[in-house]
Amino acid sequence: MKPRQEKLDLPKEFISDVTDIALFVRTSDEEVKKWDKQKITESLLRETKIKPGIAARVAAEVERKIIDYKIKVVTAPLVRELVNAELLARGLEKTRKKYSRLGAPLYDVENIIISQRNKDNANVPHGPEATNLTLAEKIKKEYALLNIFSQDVTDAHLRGDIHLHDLGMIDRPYCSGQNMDYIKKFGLDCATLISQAGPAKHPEVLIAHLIKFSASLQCTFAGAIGWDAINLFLAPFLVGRSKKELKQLAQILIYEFNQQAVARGGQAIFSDINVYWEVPKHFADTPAIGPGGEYTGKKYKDYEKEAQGFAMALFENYLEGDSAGRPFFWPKPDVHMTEKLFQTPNHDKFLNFISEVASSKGNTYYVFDRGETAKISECCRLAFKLGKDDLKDAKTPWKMRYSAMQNITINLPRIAYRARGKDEMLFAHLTNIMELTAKAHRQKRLFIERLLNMGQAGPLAFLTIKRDDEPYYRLNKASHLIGMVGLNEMVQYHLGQELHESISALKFGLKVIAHMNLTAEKLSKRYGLNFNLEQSPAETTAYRFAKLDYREYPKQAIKVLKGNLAKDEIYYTNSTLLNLGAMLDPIERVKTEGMFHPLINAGSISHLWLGESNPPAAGLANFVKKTFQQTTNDQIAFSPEFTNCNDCNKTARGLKEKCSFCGSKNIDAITRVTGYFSRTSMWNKGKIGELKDRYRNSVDKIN
Amino acid sequence: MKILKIFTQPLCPACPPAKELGERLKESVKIEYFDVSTPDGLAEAQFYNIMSTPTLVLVEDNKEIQAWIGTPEQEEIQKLL
Repeated sequence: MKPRQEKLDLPKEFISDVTDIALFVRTSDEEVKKWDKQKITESLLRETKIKPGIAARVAAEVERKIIDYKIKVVTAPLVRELVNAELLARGLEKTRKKYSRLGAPLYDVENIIISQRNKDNANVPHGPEATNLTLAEKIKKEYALLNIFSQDVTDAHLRGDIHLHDLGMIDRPYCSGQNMDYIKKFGLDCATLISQAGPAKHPEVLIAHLIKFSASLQCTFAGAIGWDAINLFLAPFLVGRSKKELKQLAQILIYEFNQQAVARGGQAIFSDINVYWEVPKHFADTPAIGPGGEYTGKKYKDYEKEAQGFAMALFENYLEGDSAGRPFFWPKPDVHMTEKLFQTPNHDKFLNFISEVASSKGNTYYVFDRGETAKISECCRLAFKLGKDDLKDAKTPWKMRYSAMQNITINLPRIAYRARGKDEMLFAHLTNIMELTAKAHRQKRLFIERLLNMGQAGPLAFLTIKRDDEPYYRLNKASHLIGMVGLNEMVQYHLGQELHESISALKFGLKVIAHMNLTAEKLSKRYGLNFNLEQSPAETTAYRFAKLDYREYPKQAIKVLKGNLAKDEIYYTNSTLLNLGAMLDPIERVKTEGMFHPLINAGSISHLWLGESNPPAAGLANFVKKTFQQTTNDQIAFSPEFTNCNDCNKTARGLKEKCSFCGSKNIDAITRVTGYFSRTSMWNKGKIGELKDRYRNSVDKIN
Repeated sequence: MKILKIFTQPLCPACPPAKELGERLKESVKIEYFDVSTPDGLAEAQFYNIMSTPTLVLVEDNKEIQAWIGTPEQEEIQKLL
């Protein structure tokens, strides 16, 4: 409501006729308007709800200063700065916070547009679309910290006690995993698309729908988009197709996912496809949906041959790589290892083949589902474990839509610094920080719920589409992730030994994660939400925490930080991993790291760095079998390194100073950053430090 | 030195006999009890890959000699001591 000036109790000089002042304001609405201090009063009343008298006094004082300072160019941001200064001068700090202007300094914006790559995420290239993303994220990040999270949560993030991931995407859930039967049954129906397509009748069209649907999901989620058992659910469309045709279809799928750098923020979709050689038990008797969204009259177990054919076709493409011989970065193929796999005919042939791909190009992720475990894998290591109700949903797979609402990582080494060697204090601090994490999760959830409640008129309209008995986004299935960084350094500071250096250090590390697991369980019961531990990918966080701790706790941090301090290439070891430079036998590493995995419900991984070595496929396959049978490890991946020449466009194995073929120094180094392949030139300094430390396993040890 | 580690949890109906067996064997071998609903117990269970309760593990120098899922006969353990 516009305040009535005559009712304000103001000194006469404050009620001067504004038109007397020959000033113009460059407004944010791209207009030049005549100065009118009443506009300040109105905006203060609208945005902060302060008393009209105070608002008018502030406006008058700002006007006086503008005249006194003889400012020639008055802009809306400048006026707001002056108003904020005046509010502070009057002790109105809370009002000033409400009146904040979000944005970026001119200097930063120019840097971002012209020269600064986004190094928070190695999957973001440099270009106009990418800088749009970066700039938008900057504003939304500030908005989140000012308006969504409480001051204690915000401060904990800013101090580096915790890391609130994807703050720049505060208005989206974190990531999602789903089943292709949704698209097969309902067609392409997204609120973000201007046309609607019915169910596909041909495999080429189905793949096109899959890609478009993934891109739509990318516009609604902050992180990864995963698809369950993709080869099995595509299979009813592949009956009668030749091997050559299958390879072509697989090639379309892989290239299309990789070349979606035209999508959001110039960013390829962080995509995962789950692959099974066998027909998983929970889908075996599910009625199959085929072309046109119609039931085929058969069960999915009847399509094993087609599913296997497509799995092989996918990996034939992964083995070849792109036209320059580089590994495909996307979609990540997560191959499930189950007891049934090892009883399925030709599993040895398949395992050897995907291991050849792992050795040659590194794409293969081996996901271990022992006993009755079933899950959908995605992101760098995230897993949605399927419970009894979920397995019932396997009879209607389109209902299987899962998501993580948010990911929050805890800085473990800092807790050790504060505990000063006392166990009791360490666990008390850890509990407190987990309580705060739960509070942050609830605040984000409340905000997303508000957006979802707006339904089709809201910004998350796509997620509220209801094609079965629930909206697309199943809020009751959402997981709230609690991650950790630097368990190794926490234990090292607390006990003086790293996790791999003694059994007592290892057992203490296990106790910390067991404590986190049990606390997450208690928090889940208390708040009725699913709090789950996840190994944070921590692409940026492992560097950010290390830097902040070196600044705030230099005497303590210096004792355990990893990397090269002189070059600012410092980092903490990711999650519960052992020291990446420790020269451990690979099976020992996988076994020891695997001890933590059953405690981390929402996903874990062990990396084995291959460097230049190219182990025989049979050795890798044997290693994978041993991992399945002798350890509790959830997932492993082998990571080779490559050098791609930008001049001759050839790709060599290993990280080289110059091209092995033409000698050019115009090269790109490629390997896994945290859970996916990317160019090392796009990595942050912490990850560069880590890359130099990684212990490359020798060929003879992997068998 | 050999240690018999007994893993239980409060709500497990099959666990009391495992604890009773521990009491009967305490003169022959060092017994350690672990409640897997506590951080200490859960951590130790992960170290020995214990997936259910009750489980008994006979160890020497942190290395497993034999594990029993469920409560075994007293003689089965005694012959390994």
